[in-house]
Amino acid sequence: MSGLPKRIIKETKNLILDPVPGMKTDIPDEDNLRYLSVEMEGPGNSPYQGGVFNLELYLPEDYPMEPPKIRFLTPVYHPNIDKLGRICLDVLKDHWSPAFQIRTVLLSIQQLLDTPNPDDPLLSDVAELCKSNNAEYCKIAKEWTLKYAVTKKEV
Amino acid sequence: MSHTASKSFGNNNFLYSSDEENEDVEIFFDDSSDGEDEDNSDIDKNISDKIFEFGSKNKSNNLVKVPETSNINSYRLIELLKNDTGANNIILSHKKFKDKNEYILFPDKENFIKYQIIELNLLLEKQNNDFTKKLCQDNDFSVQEYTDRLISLLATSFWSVYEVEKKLLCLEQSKDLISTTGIWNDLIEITDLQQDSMLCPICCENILDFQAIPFIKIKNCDDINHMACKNCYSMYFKTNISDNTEIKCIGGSCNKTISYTSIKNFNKIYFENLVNFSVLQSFNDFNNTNINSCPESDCENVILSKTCTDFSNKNNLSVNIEPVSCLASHKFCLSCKKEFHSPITCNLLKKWFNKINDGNESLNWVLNNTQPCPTCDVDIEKVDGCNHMKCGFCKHEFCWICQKDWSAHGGSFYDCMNKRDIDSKKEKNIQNESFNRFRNYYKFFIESENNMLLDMRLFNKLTKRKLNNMSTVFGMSFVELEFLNDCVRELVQARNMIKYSFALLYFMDQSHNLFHIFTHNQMELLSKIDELSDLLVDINMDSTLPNSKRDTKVIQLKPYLIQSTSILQKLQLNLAKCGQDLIFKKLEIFN
Repeated sequence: MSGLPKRIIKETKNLILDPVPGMKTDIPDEDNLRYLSVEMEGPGNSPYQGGVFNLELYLPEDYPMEPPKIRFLTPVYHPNIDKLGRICLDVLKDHWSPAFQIRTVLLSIQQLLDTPNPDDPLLSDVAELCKSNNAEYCKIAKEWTLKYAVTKKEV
Repeated sequence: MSHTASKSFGNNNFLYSSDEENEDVEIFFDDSSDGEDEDNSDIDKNISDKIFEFGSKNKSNNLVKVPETSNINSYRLIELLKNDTGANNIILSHKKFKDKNEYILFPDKENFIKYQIIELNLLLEKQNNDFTKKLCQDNDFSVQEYTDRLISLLATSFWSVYEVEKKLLCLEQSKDLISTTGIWNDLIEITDLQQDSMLCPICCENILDFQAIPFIKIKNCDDINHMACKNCYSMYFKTNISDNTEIKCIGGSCNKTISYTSIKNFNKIYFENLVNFSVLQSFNDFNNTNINSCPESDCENVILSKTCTDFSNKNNLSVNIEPVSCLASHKFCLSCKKEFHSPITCNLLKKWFNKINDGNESLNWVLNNTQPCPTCDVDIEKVDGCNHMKCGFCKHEFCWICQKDWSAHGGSFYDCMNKRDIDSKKEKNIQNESFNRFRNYYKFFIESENNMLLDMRLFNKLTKRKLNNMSTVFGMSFVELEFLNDCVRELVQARNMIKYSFALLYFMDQSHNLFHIFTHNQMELLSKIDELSDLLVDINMDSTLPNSKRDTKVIQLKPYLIQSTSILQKLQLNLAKCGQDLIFKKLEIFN
């Protein structure tokens, strides 16, 4: 634990003591504070409402100079999230700044679920549907949420 | 000691003057097409030192004369830069005029950078707005700082003076852009904080000694969270510097770009990385066809075209009949900066390569590598060797190129003269016909390419060995033996032309008379190539003669080889002109 930068220690401590609303952060392995698991609630008034999505988050060696690596473990039907759960979000790529925190990133991802960006898609077919037939897209996204994100909660 | 020299070339007058002791003003001017001048400058590899060593170089016809009595201060830095005669006063630039294309060649990017800075300086002189005033008037600036700022303007505009000009025009309309160009966004160190300690928002370390680890921020960024300790900024630069042309404020949200000057003050290497990356990016940017590096790998030459060549324009029918060669005599096409491809146009060539690349992969593989046996239709792959094929299935013997019976063929093992009889079988299906047609021409295209590569490998090796050998045995100078090199170079170039002429033929209407004139010219060129190629192989490889005899034979054949070289040249020119006729008549049938 002593080898970790103060920044990481401070941020993870903060996340656990003062969690982001609608999110639960855990450290599955006490020996590795760079690896976090997150449970994110789907934002209200979106097709993802009611679902709880699992994400894994890894803070690379150069963090905070480099953005954290983050992906969904729960399948999500979304134009900017692919089958492997990888997320296409500007702050995770070119627009990353060392002043951003894990907290800001998580909020941005929740925001992305609420307002997809089909103009800069990762999955072109989903983006196409999202633009041309939004109702159909919402329907499928809801189905996926029910199938993958809700059942887990009931078990 | 003062010295002035003027030289005029093309329609520009350049005036070179120098007032200092060391005036090694060396201008290489080359009008010939094969520019093989050696680069005589001792090029220092360190860019940041080089960038600053300017000679004074004025385009006298563009010069806006500043009255000496009035307002000289407003152009202080511009004048200083123009009159700066650095220690190594060399600008190696070549200007050539061919047709309407004007272009400048530089031996390396350092000289290119210098040239663009001087061009931008001249542009700024003509501008008269708040931005340029601020840039050129600042009395706290040294010429060095001024130059760095010009570099940052160019580096964020793809190294094009025109792009900077466009930006400057926008600046007049909107003041905000001044901050986004980042030219004034210098970093400052804060050492006199009114606190005993402060927490760095990036690394969360508590900083106690502000002298040892100062806080750094952009001068005109007032967000308290956009400050970071020196260690963090150092790390930040290190991780971002290698693949960016601009570095933003560490805070992110204010979107301010940090000035090059302060990055240079921070660490000179970071600055060099930024400059290097931006130059490379400008070479590779597809929209920016005016600045390119020589397409040959390992060649550092830079080419700057003055005329805008828009080869994506469909109406652009002109073909560059003559290739451009860089200072190391690598030849390439001026418009698309690819391998020289006369007689086909850049547009059609692009279509040709698209044609090759589309379709599915395995079909492409079969298409590229096999052809059906003429009797039993089994797909046959030719791995290497001559054109004499024997089908493994039905044992039929045939020629790989014309697919005729080998017994009736006779010709040489590597070159088939019956290439013309390909379109005898007429298929009803038009698509199939087009496909077969493509397949045939593609076959020729690949075959010519292979022949060219074969010749290149074989002769380059041979002539190199031979030239050394012959100059010692016969006591002849390399100049006298140059004919052999010329001959081989012409041969390879002619093969290259044959290759691209097949690509052109694919697109053309074969019922038209010009098509037949073209193919006739093509065959004439091809037979000359084959003759010369065979001759060169003979005199180099004839194992019945001892080495010395072979060399004597080369010398004996010198007049003939020289003559053949010039015939090759003429035949190529004919073919290129004929190709242009074809293109101008718009005889395209497949689009």
